[in-house]
Amino acid sequence: MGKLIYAMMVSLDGFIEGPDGELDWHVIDEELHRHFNDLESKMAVLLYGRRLYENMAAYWPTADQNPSALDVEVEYARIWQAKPKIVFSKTLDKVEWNSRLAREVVPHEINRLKERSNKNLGLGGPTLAATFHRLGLIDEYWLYVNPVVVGRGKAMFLDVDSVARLQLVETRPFSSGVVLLRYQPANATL
Amino acid sequence: MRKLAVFNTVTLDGYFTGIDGDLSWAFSDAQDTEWNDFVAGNASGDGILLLGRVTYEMMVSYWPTPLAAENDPVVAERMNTLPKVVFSRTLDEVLWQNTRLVKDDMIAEVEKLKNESGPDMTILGSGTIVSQLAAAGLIDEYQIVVAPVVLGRGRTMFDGLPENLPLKLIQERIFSNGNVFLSYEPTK
Repeated sequence: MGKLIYAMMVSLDGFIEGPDGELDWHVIDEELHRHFNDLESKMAVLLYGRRLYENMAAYWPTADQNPSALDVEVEYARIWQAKPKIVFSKTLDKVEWNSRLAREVVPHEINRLKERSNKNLGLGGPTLAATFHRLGLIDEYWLYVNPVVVGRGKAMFLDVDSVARLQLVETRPFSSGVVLLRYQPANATL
Repeated sequence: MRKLAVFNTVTLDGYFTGIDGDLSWAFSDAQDTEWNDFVAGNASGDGILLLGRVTYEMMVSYWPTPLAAENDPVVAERMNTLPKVVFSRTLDEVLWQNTRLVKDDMIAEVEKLKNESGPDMTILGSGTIVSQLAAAGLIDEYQIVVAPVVLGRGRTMFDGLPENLPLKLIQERIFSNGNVFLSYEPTK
């Protein structure tokens, strides 16, 4: 059975984007990029919110044709293009690059997807993540804590208003100063 | 010149208090001897505590009380005897032992304190003063404990920081209660 993993780059103060969608604070070097390539290449499917899909689809379909792209970027572009994706959106009419549309999150369908898979499933986008979090569908939270404070921006969970205690299962520092904090849900709630 | 650090516990989604100042999430029943030693170690030795009004009011309502003396005798004794500076434009007096009130020009006061010799200084809690002093480049070390809790909403201690603050990770330590201690220095 596959695990559903919400993996995200966050600032030290808990934001996944600056106030205008800025991502320029990401501290990503080759080691970390390779780690992400490895992680996503082993995923069965990526589950995206609409905006994340649009951001990714605006960049990665052609990133491997950019002559100045690094090897790790070319490699990631090919992983991303080929990877099956499910995009959760009520407004999009079509999606490309091995993606299919889902109109809403149906818990038993997500659970069946996990049961049928022997690989993990990736989840991205703060609104979608909050929905999955509320429904108890996330098996692991992978926070890549960047060594930077951004002051304000978009929180990693939008519209979550209940407190949850998680269980720390692993930490891993990268040479860039990013620290991976890996959590699983704990059974106890506060 | 002496060092100014900030020491705070945050949730894994980045908040140091709930919206209404709630801190109940920061306390866990999980017993962890190593963590207890770490907390007691931080409370030992010399130092000066820098506090904003809200944190001061919360602390003064607990640490000098018989309840604190009974529950946390070691930490309470240190908290009560350590020198403390409270920054507030609205308070008229501070009643805690060994505490001084600074009403105006926090930045100048902190610059002056840093240039004096003596024990290092630590800010606890106090989001408003953390962002102002961080923006002024006066904080030398950021010591952050990440608690294994999702709060969903709350306040970050860096709210209103005008520009990105790049840091360098200098220490990482994990505890069996699920807390992670991360320590950073500014890169410039």
